Amino acid sequence: MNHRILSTACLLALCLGFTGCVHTGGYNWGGYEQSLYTYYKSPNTAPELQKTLEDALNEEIHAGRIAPGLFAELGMLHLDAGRTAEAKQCFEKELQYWPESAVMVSALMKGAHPQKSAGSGGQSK
Amino acid sequence: MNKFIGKLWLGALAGVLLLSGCVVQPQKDLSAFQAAQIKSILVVPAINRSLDVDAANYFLSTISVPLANRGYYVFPVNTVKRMLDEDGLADSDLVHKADTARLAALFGADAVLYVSINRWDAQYALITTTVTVDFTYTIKDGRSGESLWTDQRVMQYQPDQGRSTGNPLADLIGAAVSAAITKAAPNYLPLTRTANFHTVSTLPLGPFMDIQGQPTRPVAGAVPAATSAPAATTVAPALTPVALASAPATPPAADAFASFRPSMQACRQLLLEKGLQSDCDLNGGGQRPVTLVVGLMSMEDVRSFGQEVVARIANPYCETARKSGGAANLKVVLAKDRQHSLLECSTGAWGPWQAG
Repeated sequence: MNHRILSTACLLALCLGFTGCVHTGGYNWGGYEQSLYTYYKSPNTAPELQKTLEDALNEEIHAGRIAPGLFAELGMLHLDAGRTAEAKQCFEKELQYWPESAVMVSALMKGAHPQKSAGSGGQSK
Repeated sequence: MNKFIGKLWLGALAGVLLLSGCVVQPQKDLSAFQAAQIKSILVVPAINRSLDVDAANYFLSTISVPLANRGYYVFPVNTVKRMLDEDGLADSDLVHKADTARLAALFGADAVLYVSINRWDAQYALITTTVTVDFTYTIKDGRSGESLWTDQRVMQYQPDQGRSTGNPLADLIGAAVSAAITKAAPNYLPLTRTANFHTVSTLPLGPFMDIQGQPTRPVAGAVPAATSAPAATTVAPALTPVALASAPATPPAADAFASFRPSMQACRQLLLEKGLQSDCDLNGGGQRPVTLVVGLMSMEDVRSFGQEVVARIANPYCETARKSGGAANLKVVLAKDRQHSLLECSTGAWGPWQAG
């Protein structure tokens, strides 16, 4: 019985377990859901979330099908790390792909002051 | 090995949730929602009335994907959370009490989604343990603050532990739920994902997704930038020098894979409509031949619905393969019997049922 359970589980894992990394629907979210959750649990995993976002964006940038909000989320991580210039570029990209973000992006740009970059700006790659 | 088992449980848990998540919804009056012509939705952090401190994070992490796939611009949930924090609205109760129109105006949102997590708990007992999740979703108009749409979703599962029911799926669910509960850090992400997915599926389709699950928004190059934002080519290298600069090297195979995604989406939608458990997925890692795997529970499911389901998916799927000039297969896999049958699009012939 146990064997049977495991094999059924195996199949379901095959069918369902991949949904975290395979594209769902029309956009590529990469591992956004899992990485964001992990980030909330352990804020020190910000670099992993950043990598997840960059990977998803890189894969889709040529198809032009950028999921709503992904560029802004990446920008917010840059802002947190003091990388103001990168943050602003991400916010501009969000606006470029999704004009619906205009009001939010304008507020974000006002908040992205250059002096904030003094802290960990050196980490910028 | 531990990792592998972990993945198994994750997958198994997702299976559980599909089972219990399919609640029959009464037909709703969507006229107010449709009249409001919503394009963008602001999701604010959920009010958590449950005992699980993580419940709000589970919710926030899994709401964007289904909403965007339903055709709406979803404001980036983490960015929004941070902006609210800075505006002194860190407390979700405060956010939910704030004036909707003013909140929406801060972000330029057409509508605001409020969620309250009423219950999220596992009740431990010697013989059986019950997991209950209870969410209330409300979407309000960003201008008038009027409520446009609400949904309440209760999902409950009570595994029968310790003895076999004779039904492999029931046994599997029991085992999966017990494992999730007894582990030090249970992963409820699939459960929340399912609740959000089922709820959002009852919303009318938004403007940015067509009925095939294909985004309607043209590629960025074709969209004139709304501001003086520099062109993509000049921004990209500075943005993430290593990653984005290497992007042109993306193999064409990835694009071939992308063209099959609408088929996968249509497949999932159909399984959902038929109330069938399990899922569809694309295999092949972006390489040819791409295989669309349709999981069904048993031969009984194949007899009652499967042929229709497969017929409606197979033709458009193989048509996509022909148009993109590459090999593709469709594989039906039975969870119960561990058998599969393969359709090769090139020949159009189904293979025999095989074990393994």
